[in-house]
Amino acid sequence: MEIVVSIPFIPLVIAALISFVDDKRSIPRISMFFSGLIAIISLVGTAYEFMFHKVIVGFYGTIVFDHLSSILVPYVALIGLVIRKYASNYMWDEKGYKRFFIILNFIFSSIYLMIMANNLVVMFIAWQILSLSLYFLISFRVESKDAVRFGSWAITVHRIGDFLFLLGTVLTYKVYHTLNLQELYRIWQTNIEHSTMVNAIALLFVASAMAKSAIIPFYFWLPYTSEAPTPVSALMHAGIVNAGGILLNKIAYLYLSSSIALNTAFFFGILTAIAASVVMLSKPDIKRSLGYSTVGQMGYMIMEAGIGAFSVAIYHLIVHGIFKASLFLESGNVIHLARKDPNIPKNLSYKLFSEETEENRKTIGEIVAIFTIIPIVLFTLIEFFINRVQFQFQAGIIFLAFGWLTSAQLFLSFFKVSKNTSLKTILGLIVSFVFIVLTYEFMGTTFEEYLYGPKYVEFYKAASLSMPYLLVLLGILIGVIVFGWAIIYYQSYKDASGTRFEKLRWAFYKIFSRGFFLPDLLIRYFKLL
Amino acid sequence: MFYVALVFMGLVPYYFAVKDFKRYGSTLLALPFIGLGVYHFDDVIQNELVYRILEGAAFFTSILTFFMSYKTKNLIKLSYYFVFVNVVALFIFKDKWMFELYFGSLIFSAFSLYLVATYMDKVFGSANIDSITGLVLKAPKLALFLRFSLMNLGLYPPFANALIMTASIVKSHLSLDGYLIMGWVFFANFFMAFRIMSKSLFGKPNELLTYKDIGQAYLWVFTVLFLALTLVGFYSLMEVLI
Repeated sequence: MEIVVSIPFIPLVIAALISFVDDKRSIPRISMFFSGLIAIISLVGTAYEFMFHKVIVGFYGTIVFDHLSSILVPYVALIGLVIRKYASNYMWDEKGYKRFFIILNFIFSSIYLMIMANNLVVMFIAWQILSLSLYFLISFRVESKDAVRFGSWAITVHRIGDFLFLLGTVLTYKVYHTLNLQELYRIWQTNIEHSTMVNAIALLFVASAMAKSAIIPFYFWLPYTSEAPTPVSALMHAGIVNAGGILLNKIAYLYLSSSIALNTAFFFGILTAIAASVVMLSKPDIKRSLGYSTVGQMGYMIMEAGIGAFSVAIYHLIVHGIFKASLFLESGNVIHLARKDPNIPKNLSYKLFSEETEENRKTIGEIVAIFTIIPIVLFTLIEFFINRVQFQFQAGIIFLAFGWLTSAQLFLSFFKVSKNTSLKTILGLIVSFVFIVLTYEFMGTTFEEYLYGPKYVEFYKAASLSMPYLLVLLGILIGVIVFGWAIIYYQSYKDASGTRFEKLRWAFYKIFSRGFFLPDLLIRYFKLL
Repeated sequence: MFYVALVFMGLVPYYFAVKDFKRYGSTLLALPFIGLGVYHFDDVIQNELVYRILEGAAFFTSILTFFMSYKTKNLIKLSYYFVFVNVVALFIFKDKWMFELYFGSLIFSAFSLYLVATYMDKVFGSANIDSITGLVLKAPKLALFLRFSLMNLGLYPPFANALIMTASIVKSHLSLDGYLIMGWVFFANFFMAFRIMSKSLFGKPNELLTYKDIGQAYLWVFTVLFLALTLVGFYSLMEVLI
């Protein structure tokens, strides 16, 4: 079984082999063969973990295949297989086909190494190689000024994250006298001490994760990486930005001793989730819009970790990764089709999003019922029956608030798109919603027990906020949402053109559509260099 | 003797005295190496006050060099500046042997960069990082060579400088000034290396130039040397890991 721990090095073998190959057709073959091998080995490893619950250790105890690896390694391997297959055709006409596959394999190697590292220094090395390889891939189209510029943004932000990680590692050794993660888990579970130094370490790792996962104030690099080739975008949105969530899960037990760090993660996560979603709606560029959508999802992921639901964050990153990768790869296909045929292919999405046939206005009472009461009742019931433990902590309230927000938005967006709201459509929406929430909750709970055993309850306890703070926060959140809906309603049914309200709305629109003006500042700064 | 070693390694930025970098290039890069030799046979200074003054002077030199590096676009000059920026690193290494390894690897990479720069100057007629662009597309072997040097200088793993630096500081229980130096070295090297990388490696190839790549043999020699250095870096890292 020890072969499983050699997974991080197989992509390096692929890269080395590719560098010696001159026949272009052999490059994807080599890459596919070995990545298929990785997928098989990882699945065997996962089966072993599921059956025997035994950690596989290798390379002098620096690399392990544990419960977390058994979930994430097959996921990365399968995503890797799809992306390599896709890239083998998509990148065929690009300059630097070989270079692309070599760097791609370096990225995969670093992701596996990061997931399977059993030592903070090994993880730090993987963390940096990931940043560097990402920079080379974003700047892959070297002739494009934008690609190089945005690559520089990304690497600068990641470098800040690297430094914070290094500081965290140095301080960890100073306090605990070990860098071995298995030993650290034991210490973190048994010695729960709330000292300034422990808080500093926990905060440094949170900040480092925030930089990698594009959380405010480090968000700006991600939406501007769309210059990269489509397979890179897919990989970035499906895998690389998740590194923050993976790091927090790998050192989750540290947070039993640092509520401040968890609350910080929660605060910045929630802020990013909301702000990025609003910016996303105001972006006219579809690629930037998708970038901000990922930033928002990363905000959710970090927020989940911040309320103690570490394993839900893992499930979230997997689901979001699959969804976003499919979206990017599909968009690449549509671009290819559009190059051949100027008309948009009349598929399902075209019918759904473009062919509005009937105008159907609703009263305010109906809107409240459909967008507020139905989702909240359904969500509460499902949450209560599947994950009762959460209801003993604040995590339950926060999940409910966000469940309400997202499900209501979902309903709203579907009704906005298709105004022909028959009973069949409503039922279809409700059933699919119930199915999604059920799966989400079920998988989240299963992951919790598999990854952390009964200890997962402790995380919820550690993440608890003070009650007045929580209530104020929830009050603001609900107020903002209701205000937003009121604006939508006002806009739809009243003529507001030329009023003060309209001017204010445009002022806000400008701020959001420019991404809070930070990208403009950066463009000026990088022009100076 | 410790002061002599430090001066040679760049405590006093002697590049001010040299105007003709092309002519005295190799000598300028050999001097820090001599300094390293002197340092090897000498004990680190014990007097706390003198130590702090030297540390301050080295830090000042490092900052000054960093800002000077932003004023030039000449790759030959930039290759020296990497050495002088790193003189302050001496004060965060507790282990003498590790510092020697780090500084040796640094001089090797700076020398590689210098070789690339002189090649560019000779073959393309200029070593200006703004004029020589798009090397990745037009001279991929030279680009790979440059990339290796810059990744090592920019403190990125799996290259030796990053591994030796990480191995040394992780367990060294730094003081506050140590953390400050660590941060400075970390970012100064990164910004200098990536400025060159984004300008020369990438970008649209200059249409006014005739690009000519280096021979395969040169690339092999330097790849092997870089690999050897990386192995040394891994060896030092293993001491920390196991």
